Amino acid sequence: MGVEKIAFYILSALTLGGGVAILFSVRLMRSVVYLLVSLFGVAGLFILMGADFLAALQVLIYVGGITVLLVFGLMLTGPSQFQNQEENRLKAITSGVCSVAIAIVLLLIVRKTQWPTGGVAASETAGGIGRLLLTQNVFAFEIASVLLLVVLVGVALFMRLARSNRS
Amino acid sequence: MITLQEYLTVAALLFSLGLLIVLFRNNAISILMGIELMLNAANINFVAFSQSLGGLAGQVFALFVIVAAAAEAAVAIAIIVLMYQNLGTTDVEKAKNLNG
Amino acid sequence: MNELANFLPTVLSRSGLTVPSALIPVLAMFLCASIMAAFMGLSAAVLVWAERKLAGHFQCRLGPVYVGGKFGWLQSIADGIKLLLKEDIIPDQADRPLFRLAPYPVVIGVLLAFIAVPFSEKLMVTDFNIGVFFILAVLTVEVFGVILAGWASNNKWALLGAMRAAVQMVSYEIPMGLAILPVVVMAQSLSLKTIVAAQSGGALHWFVFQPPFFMAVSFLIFFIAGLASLKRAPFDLPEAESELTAGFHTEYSGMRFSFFFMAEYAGMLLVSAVASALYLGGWHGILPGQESVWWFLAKTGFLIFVMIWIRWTLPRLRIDQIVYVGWKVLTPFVLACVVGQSLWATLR
Repeated sequence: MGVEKIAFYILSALTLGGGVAILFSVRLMRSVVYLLVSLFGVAGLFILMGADFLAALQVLIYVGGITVLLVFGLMLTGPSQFQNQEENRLKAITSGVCSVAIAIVLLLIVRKTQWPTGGVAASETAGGIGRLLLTQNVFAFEIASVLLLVVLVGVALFMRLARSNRS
Repeated sequence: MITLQEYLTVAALLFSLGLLIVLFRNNAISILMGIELMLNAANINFVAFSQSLGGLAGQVFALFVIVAAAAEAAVAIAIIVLMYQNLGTTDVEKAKNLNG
Repeated sequence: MNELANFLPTVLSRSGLTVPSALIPVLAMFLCASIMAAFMGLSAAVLVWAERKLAGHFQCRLGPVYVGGKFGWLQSIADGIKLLLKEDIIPDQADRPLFRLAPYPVVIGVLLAFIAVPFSEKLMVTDFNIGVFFILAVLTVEVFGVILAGWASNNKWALLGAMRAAVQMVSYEIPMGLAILPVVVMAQSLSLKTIVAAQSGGALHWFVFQPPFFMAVSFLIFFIAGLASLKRAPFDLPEAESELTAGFHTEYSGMRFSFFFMAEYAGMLLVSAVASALYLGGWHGILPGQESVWWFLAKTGFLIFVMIWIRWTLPRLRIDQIVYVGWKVLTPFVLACVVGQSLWATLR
């Protein structure tokens, strides 16, 4: 078993283990930490797949942006919300059945399909991604920037609403 | 060498875990975390295909997914905070004003 | 690191040890890691001494100037011994696992970022394709540790400090990331080695001194945002001692506190090193053809001196002022720099 394989198993264990821990943790702050572990696992998998730029982006945006945002949102709600509520048993059973069914279907698809292989992974990711973004995908790139602008304005408006609610 | 199928298996498991969290949990912030896990599972798939097919198209797509995830998280947190101010809870089961 | 891996077998065979060849890269990795960690610890100690001593001169404090006879050299050793011998107290109401965990992301973030710092042409751990971007990404991990520390302490001062750290990060992160872009446009690479190599040929080729001086402006912005990322005065709101006792690390003591302490000083070294590699020509000297680590260290040391100088002379900003500066002053300026530099690069 090569080093790559061992790294793959450790990273997958981190990714999935973080997910399982989120599922079972009661305190929300701890689940944010588990989410972080899981996201780092995914970043590691990206590095294994040769996507170094994407891995750095993953750490930058998820750790620096989304988890901080989650903690922030958590702090802006009250202490009564810091823990998960008791879930009822029916909900647990139905949701468990649904997701296990989906997992089985997905795994069967992964097993049964003949996946195409034999491509050569690109060696220089950052430059290549930049070139693709400004040539082939320039429209999507612009749409993404419009999306971000809309979100910025929209959230600012939301928060203004929140402030007028309070007063 | 790690095959494409192994990556896809991890992604499939992560996706169903995320789905389970979304379905099972009542708290809006937990649900948001489940959604992030599902998006990450999709990203693993994109990057794995991009590696096995060659080229960078999959990685560019994953980049757009990350952008969308950041935007979605910002909006969702704003909604959750507003919901807490109006209803005093972040339990999605209790947000039933639209039921009539 | 590769040089080290090539160099190791000869050293080992000369000292009469036999090591399987598969283990050599692993050994080189461990050696590299321990060298970097030792370097970080040592430089933190020297910087603490420098800070105390300079502060002593700036504000007429007697202790650090005289401890140990000459130059006050004993100060940081005394500090270190004191911290190591102190009891590691965990508050009763704290979230214990998170409280114990929180210092590690802070140290690991800074230590990881050192991997990509080019001390000289040969002396760097590895040259990443995406070096600058990697450093930015890894540094964000530190902030999460700070927030975690503030939350887990279960103390109002600590929580306020953590909230401030989060707000501050949201406002400095964007100018800091954008300030790097003009340099990347000029060097056409994200790799720090290539960026430094593009500045060879004397002081006039350093990126700060290149007309039309967009990069000089972005250097200033990077330095200001870097100060904010280090949580140093005038941006030391998360640990403002006159309002929040000690901010996010109020409840920390002993070893765990010294982790935060060390991370701050290693962070100073890191930001100064990155700034001097990006804008001040890295290992290139003032005259053409001069190349050595010492130039790099001299520039870094100068930037650190400026940081200490700022800390002991300027008063602290308010949190709304930091958000204002980040979003309404630095971001528009840095955007103008990026656009201007790109235009200049294409039109030239």
